[in-house]
Amino acid sequence: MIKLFSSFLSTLVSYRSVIWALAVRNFQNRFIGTGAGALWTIVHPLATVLVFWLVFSLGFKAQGPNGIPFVLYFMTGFLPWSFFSEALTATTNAVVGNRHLVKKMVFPTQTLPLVEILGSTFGHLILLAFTIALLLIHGIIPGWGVLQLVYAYFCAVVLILGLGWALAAVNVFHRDIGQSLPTVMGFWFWATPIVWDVSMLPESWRPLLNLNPAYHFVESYRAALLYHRPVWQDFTQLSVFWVMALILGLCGAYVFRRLKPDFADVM
Amino acid sequence: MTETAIIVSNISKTYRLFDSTRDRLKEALHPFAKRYHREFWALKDVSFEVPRGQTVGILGRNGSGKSTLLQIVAGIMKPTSGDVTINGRVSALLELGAGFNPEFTGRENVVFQAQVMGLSREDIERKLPEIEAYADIGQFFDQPVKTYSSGMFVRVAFAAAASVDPDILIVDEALAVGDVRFQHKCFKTFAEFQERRKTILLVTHSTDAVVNHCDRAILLDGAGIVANGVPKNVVDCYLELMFTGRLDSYSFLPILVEEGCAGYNIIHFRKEYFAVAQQLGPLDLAQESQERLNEYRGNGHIHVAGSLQELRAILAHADKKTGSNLIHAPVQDVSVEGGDDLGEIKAFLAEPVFKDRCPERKSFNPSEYRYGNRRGEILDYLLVADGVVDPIMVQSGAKCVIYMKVRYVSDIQRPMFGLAVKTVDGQTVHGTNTMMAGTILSPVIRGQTVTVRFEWEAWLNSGDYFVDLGCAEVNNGESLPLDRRYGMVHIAIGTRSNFSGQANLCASIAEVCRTSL
Repeated sequence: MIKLFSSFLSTLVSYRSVIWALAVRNFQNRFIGTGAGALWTIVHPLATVLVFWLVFSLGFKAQGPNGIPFVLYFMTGFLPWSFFSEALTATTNAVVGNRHLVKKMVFPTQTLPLVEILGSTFGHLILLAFTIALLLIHGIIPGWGVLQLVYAYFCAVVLILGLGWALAAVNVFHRDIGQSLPTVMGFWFWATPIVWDVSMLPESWRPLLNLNPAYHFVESYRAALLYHRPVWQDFTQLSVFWVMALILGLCGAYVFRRLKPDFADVM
Repeated sequence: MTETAIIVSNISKTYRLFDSTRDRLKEALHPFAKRYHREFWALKDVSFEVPRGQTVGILGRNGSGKSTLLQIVAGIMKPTSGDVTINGRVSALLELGAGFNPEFTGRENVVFQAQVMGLSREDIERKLPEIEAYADIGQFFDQPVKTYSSGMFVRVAFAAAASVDPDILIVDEALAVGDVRFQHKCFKTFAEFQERRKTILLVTHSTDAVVNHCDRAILLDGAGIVANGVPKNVVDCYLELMFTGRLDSYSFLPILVEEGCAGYNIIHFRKEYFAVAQQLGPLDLAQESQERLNEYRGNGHIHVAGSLQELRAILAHADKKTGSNLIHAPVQDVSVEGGDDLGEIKAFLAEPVFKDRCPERKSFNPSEYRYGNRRGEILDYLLVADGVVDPIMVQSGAKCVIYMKVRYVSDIQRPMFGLAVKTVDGQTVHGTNTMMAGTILSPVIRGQTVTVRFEWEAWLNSGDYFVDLGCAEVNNGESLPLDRRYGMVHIAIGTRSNFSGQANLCASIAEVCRTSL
């Protein structure tokens, strides 16, 4: 199984130029035929941020923990979440959306989830720039901790890759997966401390939050951008995440590998 | 590089048919491999080898497994069992599509395809102008592929597939949508590939393409290979299969009937009985080349006949004059000129016929290919060229008449007759039938014998030609063969003038004037 996983990874490396070309096209493809083009990557998440800001900051007069302005607290959590949510949704449709590659060419389809992840990364970077601008406006100057963004991003990618392999493969046979995903993501959004803060939970419930794999990378983004503290401060959180992420990665690779020979038959 | 480009050994492909997609998923992930499916065999135990540099045509009816076979050879699908060994880089052009993303331009798709094939950025940049010129679709090259006509599509796809310099090129039916000029260009590319000893696997429904461009042909039917050999023979089988829906009494693999009959082994193969001299040792008729077999037949090591009795008679005779060729009467190198054989023709027309007398004619070709349901049978024919009955040699431009006698054993509402003149390679020079001519014939009654007269002029170049004769029944606009005898009449054409090509167009060249200023 480890060998299988590593053979998957080595394919990703050897096809890097193809993956890159596909990712660039993938990004372009999302905006073909639109007037505003790449602007749409940022309009949608910004609209969401605006709604939350209006409702929570102005309406409920909500405050972030330790007196942090709500909009900053929310933005730093929403930034990784929107990437995660968008990339996972795109990944789920990675195989079914590329029929021509599966049916007509010899193509390593296991690279497709990574292509979708990279395609989503372009938008993610634009949103990141916006977030940093927002922090600067509020007088928060990012320090050395910003370098941890690379780690936080990597966490999200590993998680999406593992889940994405499984979902993309199963979605070929069961389109219900693609249909039900938005609902699941809606619940997952509220189950992750993005709008709310961990301190709102009763003390005894808090360890349970570690079982939410999204928790660690969301907190890591905040650690890097907002808290300026090392991501490994909560070591339990970090280790539980990596155990889960690796298990998901292996399972995802296994499921994809098992179902792959049948792709051409059903598509 | 290895001399065998493709080795396909015992591959089978079953499609698993599920009642629902849920069953498919349950089976795929079931830890104890419980079965939820029914099986459909798309290919069953298919084996063949393709030596490097050979061009192989694959024929078959729709649904016979051609595309599945190519997809497996191209590596897109895995066979359910069996192995495929490929030596060299494969480039495949499968149906329409070829991995093109409809949203992107032709240029972008070509670049992407080349990248997947592992070409470097510089290589691609270098080849792009070449590909663009080859596809020759003008400004459409920079338009999204979704705006293409199917012809443009295949032009770009073929240009891309051929440009990556593959060792093995696989083309699936795609070329049919290209126009004639593009097809011509493709076949020119094939010829270049052949010269460079590259291997080509071609699926097509064009029997002419198979005969003209392939070294070998494979006929698939019912998920298996039913014929594998010289293109012309395989095309004959394919046509029989297409017109009658089955291959009658056709033995595909050589079967040993009798060992040591007057020093010969008798083998049943391809509707004929072969007597192979034992001194030749073991000989695989399916693998021997046609030239070799002809050579053996020429020196009496092999005799061929349509039935076992006939073959025994030949062998009994051959025993007395060992080594002599008894099948073909010695060819007399004389041409009968001018004689008026009217009496002979009248006798032919008056004579009733009950058994097949075609083999008695000098121009009869014993290795004809015959099929049909025989509700009407071609029992006799007579070739008259410029008034000479059953000539050995026909002069180019001679007025030829072929009388054909067909005896019917059942009532036929709409009878039809046809004739085709073919080259030795099986290429049709001219073919026509009463349906094409718009002639509607009155019904025939069981027991009737109909004599038909075909008249044509042999404006051909010198060489050997074969004439197909056939009778059929028209049913809902389709013809159902009663008796087709492909290549039955052998004609040797002689010319007095010298020219190239097949047809004698009687071209003349003359200088009109010369001027100088």
